[in-house]
Amino acid sequence: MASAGSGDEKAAAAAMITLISSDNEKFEVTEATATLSQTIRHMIEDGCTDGGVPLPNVTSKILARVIEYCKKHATAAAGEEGSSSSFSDAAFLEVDRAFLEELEEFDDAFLEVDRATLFDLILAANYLDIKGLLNLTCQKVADSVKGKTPEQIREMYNIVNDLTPEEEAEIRRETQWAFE
Amino acid sequence: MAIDAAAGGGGEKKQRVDGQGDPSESVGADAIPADPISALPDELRQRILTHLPLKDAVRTGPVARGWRDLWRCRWAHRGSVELHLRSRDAPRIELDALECEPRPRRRLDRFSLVVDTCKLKSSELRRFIEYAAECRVEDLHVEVRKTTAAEKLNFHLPLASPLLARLSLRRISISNMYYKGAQPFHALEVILLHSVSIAQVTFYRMMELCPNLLTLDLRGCDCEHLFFWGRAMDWPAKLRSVTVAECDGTIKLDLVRVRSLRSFRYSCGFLDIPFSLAGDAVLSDLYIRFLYSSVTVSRRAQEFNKGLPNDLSALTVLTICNNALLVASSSYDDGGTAQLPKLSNLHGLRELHLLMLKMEYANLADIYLFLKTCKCHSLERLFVQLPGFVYKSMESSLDVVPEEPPEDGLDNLAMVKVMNFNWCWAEVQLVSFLLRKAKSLQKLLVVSPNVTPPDVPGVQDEDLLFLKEALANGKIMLSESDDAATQPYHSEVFIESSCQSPVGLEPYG
Repeated sequence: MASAGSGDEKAAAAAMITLISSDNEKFEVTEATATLSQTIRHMIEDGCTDGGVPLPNVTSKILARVIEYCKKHATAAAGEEGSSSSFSDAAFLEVDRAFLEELEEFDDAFLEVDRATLFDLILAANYLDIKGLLNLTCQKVADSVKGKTPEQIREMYNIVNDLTPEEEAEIRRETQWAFE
Repeated sequence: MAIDAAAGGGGEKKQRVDGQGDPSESVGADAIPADPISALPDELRQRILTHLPLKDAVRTGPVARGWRDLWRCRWAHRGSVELHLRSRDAPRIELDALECEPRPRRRLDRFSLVVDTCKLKSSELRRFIEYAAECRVEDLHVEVRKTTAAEKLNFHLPLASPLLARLSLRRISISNMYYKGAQPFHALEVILLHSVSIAQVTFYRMMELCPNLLTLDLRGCDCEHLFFWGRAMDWPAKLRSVTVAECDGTIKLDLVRVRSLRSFRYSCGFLDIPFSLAGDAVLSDLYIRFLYSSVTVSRRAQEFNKGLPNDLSALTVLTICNNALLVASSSYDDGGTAQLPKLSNLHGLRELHLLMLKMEYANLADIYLFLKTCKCHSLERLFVQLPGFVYKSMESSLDVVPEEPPEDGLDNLAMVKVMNFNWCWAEVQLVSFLLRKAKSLQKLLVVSPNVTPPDVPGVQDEDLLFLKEALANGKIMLSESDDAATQPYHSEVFIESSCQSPVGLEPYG
C-alpha cells in the first residue's frame, strides 16, 4: 500500500519522502507528489524531512486517499509544464484536453466517498495546505447545500437548531430576499 | 474523527476500520460527531461558503446560532462596499481608490452606492457600476438622493455583473440604450425599483433579460410608463413575488398570466390601478392595502374579487388594511348569482395582520364581519396595527358596535400583538373580545404609549375593567416599546413612519 505508486518510471528516479500517518503507517512518495502540499514543501525546504515526516493529524486511511489525489495531480502538473513549451502544437493541445478530461473524471470519482471521509479530507487538505484538494472538497460540500432551504440543510447534516423561533424569524427578515 | 486531536481521535478510529463508503459508517456510529459540518473550524466553513452564490450563503444564516453571521465574513477581504457620496470631490476620490485595486478584482457580495451630491457625472456612475461588475457583485444597490442629479443619471443594466442576483435602484433613470446584444442575466432573481423612471420598452426588455426573475418590487413608480394598455407582456416564467406599492398612473395591473405567483403585495389606489391575478395562482402570502379612499362596496367588490385567484385556501399570511376589510367580506354579484367573497375560504391562514388606519366602532364591526366571513380556523398569530395618532372620537362606551362579534373561529390563536394601543373604546373592546374568545391564547402583547389605563371617573365600562384585571394578573403584557422579536411576516409595511418604522429594508441591517 505504502509503495503503491513506485511503478511510475519518473518517480523511481526522483527523491523519495516518507510520510508517517497518525497510526504510524509509513508512505513513501516522490517529492513531486509530496510538494503538492505546501506544508510538506516548506518542511523539505527547511531540510527537516530526514527520517520521515510525521503527520499526527492524519490517519493512514485518509493519508492514502490524499496521496492518491496528489499523485494524479502531480503527474498532471508535470504534463502541463512539458506541453507549455510547444504550446502551438495542436497535437499537444489535444493531448492536454484529453488529460484534463481524465483528471476531471478522476476528481469526480475521487469525491465518491461517505460524508465523514469527505470532512476528514477537508481537514487534511487544510492541514497539509493542498489548495486543489481543499477547493475540490469544499466545492462538493457547497454543492450539497446549494438550492436547499435552512430546514433541508439542517436535516442533511444533523444540525440542531438552537435558535428561538423569534431569532430565526429575525435573521430571515434581515435578508428576506434570499428566502422568498 | 481522523484529524483534529481535540475531538479525541483515538477512540473514534476503531469505528473506521471497515471499508470506505460503507453506509453503516454514518449511521449509528456515535463516534462520528452528530453534526460534522458545524464541527469544522469557522475558517473552513467560510471557505465552503465562498463556493456558493450569495443567496445560498445567506440561507445558511438561520440554520443554527453558529451559522448566523458566518456568511457575512466569508471572504478574507471585505465582501461588501457601501459608498455614500456626499461632497463634490467624493466621486473622483472613491473611483481612484477603487480602480487602483489590483486585477483580477476581489469578489464582492454587495456594492451599494448612495449619491448625495449633484456633482456625479454619468460617466463616473458608469465607472462605479463597471467596477462592481468586475468584482462580480451579486447584490447591487444604487440610490440617488438629490433630485437634480437623478434626472441626468442613467443606469445601464447590460453593464452589470453576470453573477448579479439582486438589483435595487432608487430614484434613477434606467437607460434604454445599450440593450442591443445584451446577454441574459441568468442569476438575477430580485429586482427592486423605487421611484425609478423607466420607459415601457426598456422595462419589457429588462424582463426579457431576466429569465429567472423571482421577485419584482415596484414602489413609487409610474405604472403607466411601465405597462402599456393592450399589450400583453411576457413575464419571467418563474416570477413568484410581485409588490406594487405607492405607484402612480391609471392602468390595470395585469398579472393574469403569472401562474407561478406565490406572493402579492399591493398598496395602490384600486380605482386607478386595479389588479388582476391568475385564477389558478396558489398564493401563500397576500398584502392588500388601498390608497386614498376605501373602495365602495357595491361598485368594486366584484372587480376586487375577480382580481384574486380562485382558491385562497393555501394562503398562510394575510395583511389587510381596514379600508379593504369590507370589500373582502362582501358577497358580490356575478351574472345574477351571488358569490361568496374569495377571501371567505382561508382555511390555511396562520397569520393575520390588520392595518387599521382608523379604529372606531364601524371599523371594529368590519373586523368582526371579516373574522366571521373568512373562516380562518387555523389562525395562530394576529397582529393589529392601530392608528399612530390619538384622534378625538365622538364615540363613548355607550355606543353599540353595529356587528355582533364572532362566536368561534379563534380556537388556535396563540399569539396576539396590538401596536399603537391608545385606550380608545373600540380598541379596548377589540382586546377584550380577543381575550375572551381566543381559548388557546398564550401571549397577548400590547404596545402602547400609555402604559397606565386611563381613569375615567363615573364610567364603569365592563371591557375596560376586564382589561385592567387581565393586566393585573399578567394575561396581557403591556409595554411602551416595540418588541423586535415578535414581528409580522409583512414587517415592512408601506405605511408612513407614523405607524412603524420599516424593518428589513436594508439587507445588511
